[in-house]
Amino acid sequence: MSDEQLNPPALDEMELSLFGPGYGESVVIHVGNNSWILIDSCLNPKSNHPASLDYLQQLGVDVKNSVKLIVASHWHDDHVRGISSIYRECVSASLVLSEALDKGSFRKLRLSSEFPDTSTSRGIDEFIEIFRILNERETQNPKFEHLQSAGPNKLVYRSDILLGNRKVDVSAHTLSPSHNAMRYANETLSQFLPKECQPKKRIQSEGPNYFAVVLWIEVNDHKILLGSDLENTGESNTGWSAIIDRSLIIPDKRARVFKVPHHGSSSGHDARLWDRHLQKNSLALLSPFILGRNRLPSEKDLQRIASLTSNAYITAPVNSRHHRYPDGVTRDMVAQFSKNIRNVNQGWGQIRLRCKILDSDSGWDVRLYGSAQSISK
Amino acid sequence: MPASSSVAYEPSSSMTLDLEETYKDSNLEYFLNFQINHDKEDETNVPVPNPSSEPSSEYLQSRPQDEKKLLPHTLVQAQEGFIAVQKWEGYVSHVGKDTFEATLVCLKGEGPDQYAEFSFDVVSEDDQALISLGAVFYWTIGYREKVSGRVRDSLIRFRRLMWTRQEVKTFEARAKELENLFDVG
Repeated sequence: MSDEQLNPPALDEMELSLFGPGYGESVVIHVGNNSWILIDSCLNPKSNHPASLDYLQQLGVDVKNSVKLIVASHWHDDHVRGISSIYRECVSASLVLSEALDKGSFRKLRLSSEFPDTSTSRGIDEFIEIFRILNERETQNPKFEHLQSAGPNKLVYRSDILLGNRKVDVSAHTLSPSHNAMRYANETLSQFLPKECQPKKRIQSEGPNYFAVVLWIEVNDHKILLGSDLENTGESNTGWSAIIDRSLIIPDKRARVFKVPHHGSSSGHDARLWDRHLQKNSLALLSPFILGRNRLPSEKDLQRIASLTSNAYITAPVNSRHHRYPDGVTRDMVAQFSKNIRNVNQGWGQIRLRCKILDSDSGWDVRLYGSAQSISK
Repeated sequence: MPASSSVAYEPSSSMTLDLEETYKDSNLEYFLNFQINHDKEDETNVPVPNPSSEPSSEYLQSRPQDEKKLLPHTLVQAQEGFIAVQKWEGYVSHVGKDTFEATLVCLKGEGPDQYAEFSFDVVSEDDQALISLGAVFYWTIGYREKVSGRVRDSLIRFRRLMWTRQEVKTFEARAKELENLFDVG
């Protein structure tokens, strides 16, 4: 990391950093006065540690006291790798999860993953560990609200911070998942529960993402919309339609910064969102998803996003890369017995935005590190 | 092989790998005999030996002479000798007409997660039926020592672990317990 990259934001500066290696993403937000919010987690491929934790420690942030909120937007591997380590380190943070992850089928899946030889997914393993830590903390400090459920129009963080003699309002609301989405999630996950004589397999999630937690964050006049992996489902009571048509938080508001949902896919796109709830030429940030034949965003997706804003950035390129084996023998053998072998992670990038909190008209300073790049024309 | 046969005596993942590495170990022969005996259980009515104890003399006398014919392909290879160069745990992410794709996690040394496509024909016939979404397998590449010399080879072995009746019963009881604990009031 360069020296410039390691400079922490000033107390009166807001920061949003999006990290992504090609498979995974995590978001770090400084809301002022050394208070931080972390959303999702991916591993830094160089250190194999959670990217957000690595970053904050390199900035010299005391994560034990300064991280106030951790949000796990959903349970898919690419969004939660390392999140239990983050939660273990950030002892003062409140945790936000979809209610579906603490009830019904998902709770049973966590239980099934504890049987021998039954690692159903890395994502679920992370939640097993999270709930273990949560139980310890609830026993030690029963009065603190350790866990908050995400849902439509739910306030999950509120703070008044003082910058000089001026008060700054900070709030974070979850806009999803809708109640119907949680019911669908429960039904979908129930198909993975143990059945006699069925093989112990890894869970491969398919179908639209109904249940990701979307966040709306306000720091004075600065507004951020973080779209997680929420997709449009074709139904009015789930996905983006449920937010656009029913949200009580955002009907007359427009965000300047937008974390583009679902790696820029067309299924995560809703034109009404850009029209009604994003400022013109907003800052659009995204991370790619590269896993075999599944590659997002597509060329068409990139063109669509670039046509909507000239301030769009991605953490890593979408093209995939071969692994360089240190010795030729292994390389030849791998090529002999498999086809199209590729690294899951294609790069490592950080998109960093900073602005002055007290200046409503302050522009955002955009910095790109590692493999991050602009996708605008 | 009936499904229940492969359940009861499937080696754990670590056992599979140990098998490949310790092919000269005398335990290997015992393990192979043990599997064969189980395959033939219905025909011979020979008591199945306990893997944690020595095979009985009754079993040793009654074991079939044509054992090698019954061995899964990968085990025959292991018996001939295999030196692993690299190993991965994989899980199937897509099944096509003639190929499948999988995410690979390095098990030997440090390496990044990878994604690869394999032809069905690199998997033994025994294991091809197990190729399905989410199925877990172990892939090892290395050298096979033969009398005629050393050749490069690849072993793909699918995990055969199934949920047993007892496990499902225990799981359901525990899930019910949790449900009562959390949902009361």
